[in-house]
Amino acid sequence: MKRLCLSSLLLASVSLLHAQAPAAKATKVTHAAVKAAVPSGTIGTLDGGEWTTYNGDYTGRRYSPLTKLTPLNVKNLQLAWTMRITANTGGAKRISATPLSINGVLYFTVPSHAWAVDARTGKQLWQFDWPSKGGEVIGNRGGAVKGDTFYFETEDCNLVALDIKTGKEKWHSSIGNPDQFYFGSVAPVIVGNHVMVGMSGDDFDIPGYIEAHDATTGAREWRFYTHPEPGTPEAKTWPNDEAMTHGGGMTWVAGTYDPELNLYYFGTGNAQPVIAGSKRPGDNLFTGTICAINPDTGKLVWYFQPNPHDTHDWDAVQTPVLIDGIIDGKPRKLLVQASRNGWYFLIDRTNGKVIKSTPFSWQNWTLGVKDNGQPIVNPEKQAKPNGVIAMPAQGGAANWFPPSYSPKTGLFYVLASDSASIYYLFDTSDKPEGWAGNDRFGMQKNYVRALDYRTGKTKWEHLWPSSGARSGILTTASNLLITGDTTSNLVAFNAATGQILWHAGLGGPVTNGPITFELDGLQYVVAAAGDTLYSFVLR
Amino acid sequence: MGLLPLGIMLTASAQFPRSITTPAAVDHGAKIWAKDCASCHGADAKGTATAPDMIRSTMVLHDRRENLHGKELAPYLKTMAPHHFNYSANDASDLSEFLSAQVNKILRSGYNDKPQGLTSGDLEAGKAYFNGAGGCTKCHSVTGDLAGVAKRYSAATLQQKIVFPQGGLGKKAPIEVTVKQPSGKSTTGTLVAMDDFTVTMKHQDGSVESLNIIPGSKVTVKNPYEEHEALVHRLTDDDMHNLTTYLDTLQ
Repeated sequence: MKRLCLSSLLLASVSLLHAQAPAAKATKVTHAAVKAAVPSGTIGTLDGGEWTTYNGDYTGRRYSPLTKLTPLNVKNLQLAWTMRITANTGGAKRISATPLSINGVLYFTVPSHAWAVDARTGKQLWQFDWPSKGGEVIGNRGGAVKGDTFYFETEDCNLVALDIKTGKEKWHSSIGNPDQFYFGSVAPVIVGNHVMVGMSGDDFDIPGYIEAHDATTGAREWRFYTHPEPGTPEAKTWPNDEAMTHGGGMTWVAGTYDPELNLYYFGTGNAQPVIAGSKRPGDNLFTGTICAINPDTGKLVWYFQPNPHDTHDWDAVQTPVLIDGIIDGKPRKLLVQASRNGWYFLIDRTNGKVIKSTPFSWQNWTLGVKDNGQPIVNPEKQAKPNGVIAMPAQGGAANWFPPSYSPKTGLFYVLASDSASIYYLFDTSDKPEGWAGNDRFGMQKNYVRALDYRTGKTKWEHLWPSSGARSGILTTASNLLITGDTTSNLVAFNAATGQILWHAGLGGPVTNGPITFELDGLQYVVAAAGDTLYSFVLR
Repeated sequence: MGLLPLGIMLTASAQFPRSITTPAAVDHGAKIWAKDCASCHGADAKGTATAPDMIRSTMVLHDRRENLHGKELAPYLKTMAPHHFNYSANDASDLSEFLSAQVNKILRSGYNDKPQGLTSGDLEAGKAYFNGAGGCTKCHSVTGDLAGVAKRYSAATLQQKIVFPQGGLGKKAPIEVTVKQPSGKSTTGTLVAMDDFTVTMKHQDGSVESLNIIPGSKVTVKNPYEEHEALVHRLTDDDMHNLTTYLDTLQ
């Protein structure tokens, strides 16, 4: 109790430090007022007490305004129900989807399957099984809802639209060619009447893209390939068009959106061939890049490349989180990314100019930073036939697991992995294709790391006693941080101090991003571990 | 972007639907390829200046994924200039399997999946590092625990174990853990698992015990790999290659 009292004092002091954070009492009043004005199913906000998109809202912060659950009472959080899925296909062992919570119903997916579940009881309302023609089943990060339609991607490259009441298919639309090793895994994002669709696949030398479909008809509206147009200055970051148009850059993770700027932000994946970079000298735009596009046209507005000339499968796809912050005393529209390559980037999201770039984890692959904030690649740390020690390891300092930002604490939270491994080049031929190399086992130390969003410096961190799994992070306006540990626990921290307040053993690692929502005045927390959803409630 | 491995880090597993090929069919297909196709499309099917890369051919990729065994390739090769090859169903199937095998080879890890040139470092420099700057002799001896180590491990495994003995498969050194409870009771064993809330240890009699970590508990872990975890920050790639070259002589 004494520790809790101390932490609540700390919370108060931290909140005073941040001009944009309203006092706790004001938050409650504001929330209640806003909540009444937010109809169920409203996309792009968490103010309705629901969870209506992959990241909860458009900002990617995974910061809920709900305050019933607090650092003081989280110890009373209790199991409401569990729900184990039954599907006999390859991807059904692990729910990596962030569920949506709309009007008392949870919607979530695994590769080629979708469910609607009563959020109060955990009872299944419907299950939809897509007759897949085969594809990679590494995971499916979830669906999107607009009105009475649920959308999700299948492993064999279809966007499927379902009636949310019955789970019956309305239509499906092709989003790629699975013959070329493209596959669907990304949670779609609704922007206006567009369904924003990311694409996965890095086994083969194919170009990445993102596309928009009409939310009503499913028709494709545009496709943006993540490589420059031939002949443009950016195309000179490749040796030739053949390499460029086979150069990768998948759009693995759901993007974020600023309605005022009408810009949709997303990161792109590794260049291809993955490990062998000798035949694609240059920065290899737009792979390993944060892109801002106009969602109505698919036109690129700005880009910044955190991970030039990727030869480690590090991508730059981690959620670009939108922060409205204060820099040098002035309010700024910001975007931050804790990138898989171990670097943290603070960017002006109106124009892509970098304000800060700094490592947040072990990294040994750079020779410094360019004036534009881009790390400079050390060629000595690219894979060789006899191996090089690289940090981070291929798993990355961060990975797809969603991070969180709390405007209350001013801290950006990431499950960081300090890691190292040995990278080997296996194909030294004149035309390496595909992977052409790989890394072999190394070491990792896994942390919850809380970074000052302005400096990227660690304010607090928690080293998990064992290395292992990572999951997504949720924060709340009452200064809670909820995430999975490396073994099998769902853990609640004080977001301001890093003190552990509560945990529950789930029998396996948390495999998705936890969510919170309110029903009948009760606040719930839902997380997945393997094939089971666990729902907790404060009564 | 790869799936994040749990626990120990291993090379990321394949993340693609792998087509099934049979060696005999692939071998026969390779002969057909060498006779009819390689002069233009290259021996490895990756194309030449005069003919395209067949590994990237959408028709070949479709044939592979759908396991068509040449059903669509054969009519194409029969009618389309400049090919005009009239393959039997069996020959078309074997050619299809050869091409599928060529595609499979590039996925994930490249042709051989084997490090090369691991013993091309400076043996004397490796020996000097082992006995000096590396600090290896604090725990190891080339006539003791490392005698004949190169007989037990390939150079590739040896290098991995030099840098990351705590990773990968195989036997690991036991990690001693002690939990001192607020009552003053102290329990020591070999670490089985640990998180922020419990410690599971194994005792010499084979029994396994779990202890709660409660306020006032003190957990102490003797990490046998501590020196190696520190070394990874000092070790240059040259040091690593020199050490591998040196230790590989301990036959």
